[in-house]
Amino acid sequence: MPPAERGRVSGPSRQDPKLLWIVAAALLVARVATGIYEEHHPPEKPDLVSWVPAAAAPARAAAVGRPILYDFSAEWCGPCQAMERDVFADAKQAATFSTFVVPVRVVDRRREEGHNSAIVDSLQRVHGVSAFPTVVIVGADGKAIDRLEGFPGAQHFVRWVATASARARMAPGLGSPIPIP
Amino acid sequence: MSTLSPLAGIASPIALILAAGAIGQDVSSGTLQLLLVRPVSRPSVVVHRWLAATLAATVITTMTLILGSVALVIRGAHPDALDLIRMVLESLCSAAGSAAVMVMLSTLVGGLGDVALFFATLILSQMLEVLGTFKNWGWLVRACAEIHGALSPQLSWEWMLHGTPPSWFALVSWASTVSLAIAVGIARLNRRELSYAAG
Repeated sequence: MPPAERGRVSGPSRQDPKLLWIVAAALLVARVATGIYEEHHPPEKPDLVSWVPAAAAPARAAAVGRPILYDFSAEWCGPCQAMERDVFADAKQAATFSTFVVPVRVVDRRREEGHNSAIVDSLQRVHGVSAFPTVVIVGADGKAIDRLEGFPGAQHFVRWVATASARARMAPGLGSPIPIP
Repeated sequence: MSTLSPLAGIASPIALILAAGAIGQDVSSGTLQLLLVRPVSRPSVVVHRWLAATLAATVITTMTLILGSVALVIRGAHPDALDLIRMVLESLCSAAGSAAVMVMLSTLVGGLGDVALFFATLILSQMLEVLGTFKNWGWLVRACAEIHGALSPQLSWEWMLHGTPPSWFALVSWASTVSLAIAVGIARLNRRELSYAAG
């Protein structure tokens, strides 16, 4: 008589994985539930852009030879949130975007706090901001090179930033060339 | 995005290649019939084939990432350790997902029919997605996106780097697809008539 094999499985080769079916069914229910929940409460996405304070931007722009990009936005603005999600929280788009400009975020707080800080008011007045989002690219001489109102989609937006920053590079005052990735 | 990120993307295709015909070829060649003469259960065959393809794809991708990191260090760059861990985890999840789907398809058809089934579903869903986009049928576009997600389940670990909470929907979707694929694969193999004549 042959010795008993270690770890021998008795019974037929067909085994119904009941536990796996229960887990799969529970996960399917959880999938639908979390899908509905996240439809109404989307998860927080990280901001991958290193924003520069408005006061420090001109010095930084001169140092790195890139134009300044002012992103005028507000927390209640839907297209601003779409831009945040599709560009600033997207690793690829944010990395491309950051190579062209020195980014400065200017957030309007009038609806939340009743007033803006002096620098926000001043920048909005200088660049004639009347809608959000408004994005202005400013050359080394402080003059606006180009401006965009609204969010036309991530790819179009990043392409516009690349084109406008290239135009800014042609303007006098920006020393070193902007690297094109 | 990390310089090494494209390397992490090879996990899914490698898992698909390794899992292609995992069950179907053994059925067609009669190997599985011989294997089941031994005290081996059908569910364990499916699970072990899935694990083998997943582990092999993950090891190959991890080795590639390590070689890429060494190349970067030689060139003077210093890859982020946490980013490397993220890419290995993403590779593991992609490999596990793709291998589970391919093993499931492999239990449905013989030989390498699973590869044909995979690409036929992929191409058909892409064509339907184009149609949905053209006709502005949101439901069709969404359904096709779900099919794409089910064919190559992936899980992003990007949140680990930024300290933000993960998307529970993404996590549960990935786990749900993998568990369903394995369960369907086992159920199909359990019901399959295996004999030398059934080929």
